[in-house]
Amino acid sequence: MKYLGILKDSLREALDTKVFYFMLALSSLLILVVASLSFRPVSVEEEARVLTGTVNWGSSFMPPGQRVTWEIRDFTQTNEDAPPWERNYGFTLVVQLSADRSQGGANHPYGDARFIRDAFRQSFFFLDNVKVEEQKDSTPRELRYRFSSQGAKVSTIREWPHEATVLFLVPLKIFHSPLAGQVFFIEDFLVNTAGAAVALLMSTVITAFFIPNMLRKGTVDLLLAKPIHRTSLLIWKYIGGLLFMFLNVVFVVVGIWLVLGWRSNLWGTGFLWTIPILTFQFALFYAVSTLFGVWTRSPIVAILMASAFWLLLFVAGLGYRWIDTSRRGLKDVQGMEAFAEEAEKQGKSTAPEQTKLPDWAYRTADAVHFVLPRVKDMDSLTSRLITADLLPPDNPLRKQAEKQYTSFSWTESIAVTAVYIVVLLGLACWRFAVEDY
Amino acid sequence: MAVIETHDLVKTYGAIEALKGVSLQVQKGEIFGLLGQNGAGKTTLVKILLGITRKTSGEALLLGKPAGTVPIRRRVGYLPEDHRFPEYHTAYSLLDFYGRLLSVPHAERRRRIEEMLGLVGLKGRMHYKIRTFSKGMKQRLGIAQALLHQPEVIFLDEPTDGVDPIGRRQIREIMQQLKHEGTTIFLNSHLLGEVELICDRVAILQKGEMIREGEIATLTRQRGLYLVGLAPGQVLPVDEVARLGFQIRKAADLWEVELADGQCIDALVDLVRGRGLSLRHLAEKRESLEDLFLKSVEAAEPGVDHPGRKSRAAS
Repeated sequence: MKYLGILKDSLREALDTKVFYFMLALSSLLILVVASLSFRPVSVEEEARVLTGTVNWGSSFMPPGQRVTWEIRDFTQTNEDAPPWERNYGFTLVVQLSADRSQGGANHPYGDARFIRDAFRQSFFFLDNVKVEEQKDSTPRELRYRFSSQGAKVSTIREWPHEATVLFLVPLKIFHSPLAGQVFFIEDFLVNTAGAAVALLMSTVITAFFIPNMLRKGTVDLLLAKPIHRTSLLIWKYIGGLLFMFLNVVFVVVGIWLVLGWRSNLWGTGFLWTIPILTFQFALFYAVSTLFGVWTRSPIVAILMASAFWLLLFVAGLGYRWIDTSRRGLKDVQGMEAFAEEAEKQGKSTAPEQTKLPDWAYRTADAVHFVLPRVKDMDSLTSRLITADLLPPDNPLRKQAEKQYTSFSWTESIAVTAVYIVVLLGLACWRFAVEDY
Repeated sequence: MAVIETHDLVKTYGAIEALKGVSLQVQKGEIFGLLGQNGAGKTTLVKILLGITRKTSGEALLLGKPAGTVPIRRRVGYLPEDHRFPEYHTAYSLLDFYGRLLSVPHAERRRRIEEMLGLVGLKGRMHYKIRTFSKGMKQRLGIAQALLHQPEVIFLDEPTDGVDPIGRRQIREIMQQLKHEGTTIFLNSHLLGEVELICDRVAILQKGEMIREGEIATLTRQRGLYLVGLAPGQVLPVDEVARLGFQIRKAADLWEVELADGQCIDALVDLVRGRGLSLRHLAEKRESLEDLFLKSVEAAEPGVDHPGRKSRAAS
């Protein structure tokens, strides 16, 4: 009964702060914005017209002699009753140059054959057997390319490009991407990365006042005169802070999950793991805040030390990832594939030995990584859970994510972080137990 | 049985000795007042008895058991000096929180909270946030929380601080009622007049040492000093009074008459009546607790200038 009393007291303290309501409003706003989203599968013809529209818009900024106009003609598709990924597509791209090709028109950035092929292959990455061939009826001022595809690399609606509409009426016409990718962006970037950072920071600020407030002269006397052990008092006060964070995360994550599931019809549960993982991460920072709160009785010092610790782990995590990447070579790193491909075209090797650092650098990085809490690793592991949940096993994005995070382990990350939490809390309890108030 | 007992209690903070071997006993049902200047060690003593501060050496017992343990704290109520309640609470929710910490069952807690807030005159404001309370109201709330779980011993550190005269009287009445019910009260206060009104026994602590202890009636008794007053226009025959063996001096409209050892005031009364004078005032002059306190502190600290004494000497 007394422990429930302490938890209730912590919640009451948190609810009394204005920052809490700001945080609640921010969370509600995010949920509402996500609830206002709708997703619509786009057709290949639409996608082709978005591409031509983008090029024509970009071309309008070129000098008059270099301008081009792209146009889609003779669009065809087979099996119109089948899902879009089971159809074959074809259309003609007509590129009108402002100067003859023989007079340098081929140097137009948007009139270059290689550029056109790359642009179409990239835009229609979800289609299979894509061919872009120049036709014989091309003239010096008007180039004609025949686009054709057979089948698709994707096999579910979630992998097919979609157009999102925000706030019920604003379509994001140029941000077409697979539905799962958009959901992944919201869950992983908006919530698990940016949202989590804001939530951690604000919760650190709000809860940093709990322990110093409890230890104020005149307040602590009243509590210590009650029949409760000091260690229990501190631990339950700490749990009260965690509970506050947990309820916040539950509100945001479950809220986003529900509205996103409703809007996208993707109900993967991997995203829900964000709740315990984020709470666990906060448990570490709050343990730092608690230790310094007990030691100095100053909320400012508690906030600064928790934030500094967070920054240290963030930098250490990024640094380790960078060093770990250099060990594996560029090709295996998400976002670096194109760079590696380009380097290889230029005859440069991207094999591990080319990017390798001295051995002592790896040994130091591994040692630092081993002894420090693995907050950043847990972020990556959560991202992998979300990816695995949204995308089928043979999806390239999922394969890439799995390849990238093979060096991280849940057991190690949680165990090392848990040891830190226990040690920090142990020190705080010892200090609280021996101090005269 | 002694409810509070200390033997040679010592507390040091580095080189500073806050308590220098304090020994005292407080019996069940007593109201005991601990007096002393700021920094004399009063609060330290109470905090050791409650386990808030740890003793350096000596012994401290509460209800016959080592002081400060969890089971003993369940039987004790405490109102600290300069207490600060968390202002996000209402009076009700604060007492509910403390009631939970004291393991008071739910139904009893609800009943006791309303009862205690009614007792200190805060029932009408029980759902108001504490930050809206005046200092006096917070003090009343402090009394309520100290009494919530019907403790056997209550430590009150400056309980009437910031309370208006009516409130003070109410608090005194509450203390008398608690004493009547057998509760032991340990009172730290600077308001010597109040201590005198309510306490059975007092002790004076000076720089960590116990310099006086005893029943108020005994400590403040003035042997053989009376104030005598006659009807308007009448004059006491001082020469005849002196011949009876009394020492006499004028004190404003009255006469201060001092008796020799073993002497009785009756002879003076007979003289007045025999002269046909009308006696209007006759009272034994007692030393106040304040006088006793000042005298004790001065004796313990001879030669030290105190602003109060300086100004008195100058005047």
